[in-house]
Amino acid sequence: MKTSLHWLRNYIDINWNARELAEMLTLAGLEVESIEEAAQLPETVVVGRILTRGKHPNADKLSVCQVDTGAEKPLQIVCGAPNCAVGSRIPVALVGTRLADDFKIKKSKLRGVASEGMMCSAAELGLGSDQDGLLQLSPELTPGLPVAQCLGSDTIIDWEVTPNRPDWLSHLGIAREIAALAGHPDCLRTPQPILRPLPGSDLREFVSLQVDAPDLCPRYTARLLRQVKIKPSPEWMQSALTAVGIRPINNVVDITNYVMMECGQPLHAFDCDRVRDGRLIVRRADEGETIVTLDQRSHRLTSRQLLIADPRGGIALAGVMGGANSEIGRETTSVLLESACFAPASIRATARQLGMHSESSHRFERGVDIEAVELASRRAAALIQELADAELVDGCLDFYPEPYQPEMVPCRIDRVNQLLGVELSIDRIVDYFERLRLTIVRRETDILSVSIPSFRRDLSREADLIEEAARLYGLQNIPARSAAAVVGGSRHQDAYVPIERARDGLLALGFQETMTYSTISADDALAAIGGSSEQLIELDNPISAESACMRPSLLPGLLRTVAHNVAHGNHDLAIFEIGRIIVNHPDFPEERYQAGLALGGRPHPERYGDERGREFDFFDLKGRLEGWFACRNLPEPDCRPARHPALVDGQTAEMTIDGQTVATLGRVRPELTRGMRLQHPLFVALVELDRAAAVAQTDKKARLLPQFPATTRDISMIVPDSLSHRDIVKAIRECRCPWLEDIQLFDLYQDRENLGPNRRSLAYSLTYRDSARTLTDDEATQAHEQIKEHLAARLKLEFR
Amino acid sequence: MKPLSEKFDLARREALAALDQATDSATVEQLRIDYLGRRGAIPALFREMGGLSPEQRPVVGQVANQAKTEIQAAVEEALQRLSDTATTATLDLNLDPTMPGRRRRVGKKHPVVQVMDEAIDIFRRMGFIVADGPDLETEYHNFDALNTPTDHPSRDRQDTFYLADGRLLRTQTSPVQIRVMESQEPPLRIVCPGRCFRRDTPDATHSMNFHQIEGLYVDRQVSLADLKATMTVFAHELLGSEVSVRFRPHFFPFTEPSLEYDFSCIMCGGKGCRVCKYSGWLEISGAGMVDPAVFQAVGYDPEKWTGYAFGMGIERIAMIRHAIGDIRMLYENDLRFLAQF
Repeated sequence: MKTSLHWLRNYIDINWNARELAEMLTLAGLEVESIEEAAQLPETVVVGRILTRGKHPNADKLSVCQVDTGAEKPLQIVCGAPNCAVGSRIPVALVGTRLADDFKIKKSKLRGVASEGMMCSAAELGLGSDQDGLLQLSPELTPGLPVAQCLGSDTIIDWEVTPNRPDWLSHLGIAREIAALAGHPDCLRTPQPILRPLPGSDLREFVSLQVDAPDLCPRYTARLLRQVKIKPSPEWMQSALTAVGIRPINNVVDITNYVMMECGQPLHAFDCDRVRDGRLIVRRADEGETIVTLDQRSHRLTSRQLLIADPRGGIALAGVMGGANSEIGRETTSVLLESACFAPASIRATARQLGMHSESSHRFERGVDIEAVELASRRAAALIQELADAELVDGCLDFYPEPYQPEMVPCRIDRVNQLLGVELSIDRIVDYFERLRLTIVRRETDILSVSIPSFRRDLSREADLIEEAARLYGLQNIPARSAAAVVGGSRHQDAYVPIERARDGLLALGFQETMTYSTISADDALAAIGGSSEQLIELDNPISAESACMRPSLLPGLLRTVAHNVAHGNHDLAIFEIGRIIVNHPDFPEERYQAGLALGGRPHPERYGDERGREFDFFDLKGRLEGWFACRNLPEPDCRPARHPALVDGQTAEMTIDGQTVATLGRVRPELTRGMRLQHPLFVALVELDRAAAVAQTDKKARLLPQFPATTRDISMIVPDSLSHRDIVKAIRECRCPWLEDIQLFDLYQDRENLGPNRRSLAYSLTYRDSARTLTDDEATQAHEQIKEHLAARLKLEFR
Repeated sequence: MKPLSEKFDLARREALAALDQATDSATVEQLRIDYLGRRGAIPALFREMGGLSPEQRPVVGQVANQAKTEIQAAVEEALQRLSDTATTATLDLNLDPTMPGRRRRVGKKHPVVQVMDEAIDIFRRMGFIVADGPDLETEYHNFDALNTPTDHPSRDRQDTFYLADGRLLRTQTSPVQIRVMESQEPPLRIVCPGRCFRRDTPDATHSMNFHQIEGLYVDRQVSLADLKATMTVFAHELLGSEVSVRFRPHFFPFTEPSLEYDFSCIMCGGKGCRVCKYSGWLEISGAGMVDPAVFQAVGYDPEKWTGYAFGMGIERIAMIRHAIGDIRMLYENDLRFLAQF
């Protein structure tokens, strides 16, 4: 909502500069979007009139103009703007003008043609951002006049009006707020339109009104003006409208816009001669009915839309835009003036559906002051009478079946003070309300009954009134006082603790945290989980296919991050993300936290020789995960070969705790990294954080350190490849030897020639210890032999 | 014939001299056998002591023991000396300590997480605990229970992501408040960090995903003054005690009174700069006293309980703090960028 300071001064004396005013209203909840202050233009920027325009001999896009600047001889100026039409008034910076510190206008030659000065755009004069063409000045201006004088010294403030305060969508509304804040509600000057209807005339002879949809149109008024002379509106009105961003059109249209910006009531003017039989019908559109609006667009309507019609069909989309068939034109002589109140939801739906957001729909959507509908009509009629030399037909059609009944809202003084943490007296609160034009209907010692005016429909409950008291008292005046000390809940309930712990572990292991979008493409999602699209949660209204479903895995995000970094020359990566994933199950979507890790490239690119070339492999990632489990105090997971749609078979494993999968890790399939130009293999792990958190051991008890020495014995064996390390360790553990403390693999040997195909040699070192005494050599050897016997019986292997 | 004590002394001196000269451990071992071995010189001399008178014996004995001890010590020392030399010989005396070290990389938190963690830390010390809620929400929790009118524009399909079944991606963390209040009795003091989603076309300041932290305190006699105190402490803890806080009335459907709070600009200290659009203030967040309609929706008695709620965007704070001009950089994950924070 733009206001002009000049315009505001019509209704209230403003004793503050624009910045002070902006500050005052900002602290009362009316925020400032921007302030455009009057430009400080040098006197040598003058009005010019373009006399002739010729083509530049050496440049297609340049024109050579003769410009009258009030001097004896016209000036020749070369110009690149497309809108340097003959006859138009434009600003000319004369030779010698300094437009900026380092920009002085000089006599010059442009591609061989002399140019004496510069015609300017708004941007070049610092008057705004419009640099597309020359600033067009009013055609009545005398050439040679300094532009600063005719642009005036207005200041435009653009306000950010919250949706609950439609009453601020007008100059009068904002003036009313200023008056309330300043503490002088009576200093407001509201326009008092005086009508001079033609004696003996009667509106009912010309116009009739029928409202078929009172639920969507609780009030509708119409007035008629005849003998109207359509012409440009006076300069003051044009500049007022221009200042707030509305293009002047003709006197009647300008007046409707002016009154809207003045009091917030959108108006519409019909050419009455084009309204069949003068019959206005306010009704729902028929299904499929069409209307062509003022912007020449044709719309197909549904019965949800409200139409102003004559017996032939629609003549306006109620509250949104007029129809082309009843538009005010140069030949219009008879104006039917509409001022109405439409149901906000219906206007919003229509505007959205047809993509037609207008100043008018903006106000109706938020709700206009139903009581002020007729006043606005009167104000506009008086202006049309005056500025279009029109005759006003006596009378006003006013459909208003259910007049506004002010709501009574109670307000307890204690409650105000308790909720705000202040101690305001009842007198003070009454003063605040009266300044806001609320009527105190009843006053007792500790409670007020407040009547709400029609322009403040946002106030309907005590809490709303408390907010008004807070606004006028000033939030800055409320003391900052700390609450009673109550702990919000147990730390054990704190949902963030497991996430923090998980993250700390990964950071300590050297992984950099990353963060990617929750929405991804369905293709990426399916490639990552290999499932069917039923497992995806798809958006019904995505912005693009790239972000059409919720991620069922962190893998696609990791791959995106890898792709971006590899494309920028960073091949050595140790990254992770912690985030929500969502997988759809037949009955419910499962949201859970996952940690995704990616590892690829070289651990030591900073070193040299062989060390520099070494690449991360599967076991680097696995070892880091094991470190993470250990530092999280998780039980040691069981690791088994596994398959995963995104990971290479044979280089994929699954870690489980108590049979629950807590992590899957492996090498990424080449088809998922196609086109990335990876220089090294890429490994990823997906860790199920919720499951891991559930099994974390928090209260581990201390164990005594061993007091007696340990003995080690080695086993070396040749086994088929199908027998895994895990199988062997498991078989050793099966013996349940109480002295066996540790099993370490210390050698692996594969040699087709010596061992034969698909066989390998493994060597283990077993540590034996008793917690109560030193084991003898014989005891250790005996235990070791028992284990070997068990292995030989249990597994297909040979000892070496 | 020399007295026995002199013989001991002579043997001692010869042995020490020889050990001092020895250049390998085999020689040392031979010398040990020659002098200290069972058939060596020193035991032989000890055997001669049998012929001494009782008066002489202690005197010679002292010399004898000294000789034996010193030779033993010299053997040990010679062996140690030779072993040290041997070790030193195998050392790389040309190690260049200026060569690159084998670096251990340390990961860093994402800058958004850094701010989030700090915020959570600050609120926890003020007695808040963290609550969590789902990303997929019902329209009821995201809008209805938060007193949002049915025709409020934020519910539009142009602004909010919906699923075909009518559920939506939460547009704010406020539904977590509702979920917690539905399941717990007051008093309670929670913060809810999390992801939110709005159907914004991505640009320098808009992202389809972003993070918020939401706070809610419900108790007897909670007032706007409490809210101001909490937010002021938060500002000072997060950005330093020189930051001032400003509160402005505003409008939100779920709070009444509603307000927005601004921090004085940390770039210019409030004098006005590009970051604060020359206002001296940075808009940080919205807050207010919980609307009675919200309490009614969750079955709390608004006459008995009052509360405040606040919510703020984490990316915005991170962007201000680190002078990041484009929100998309936070989701691009260029490691050169992330490593800076």
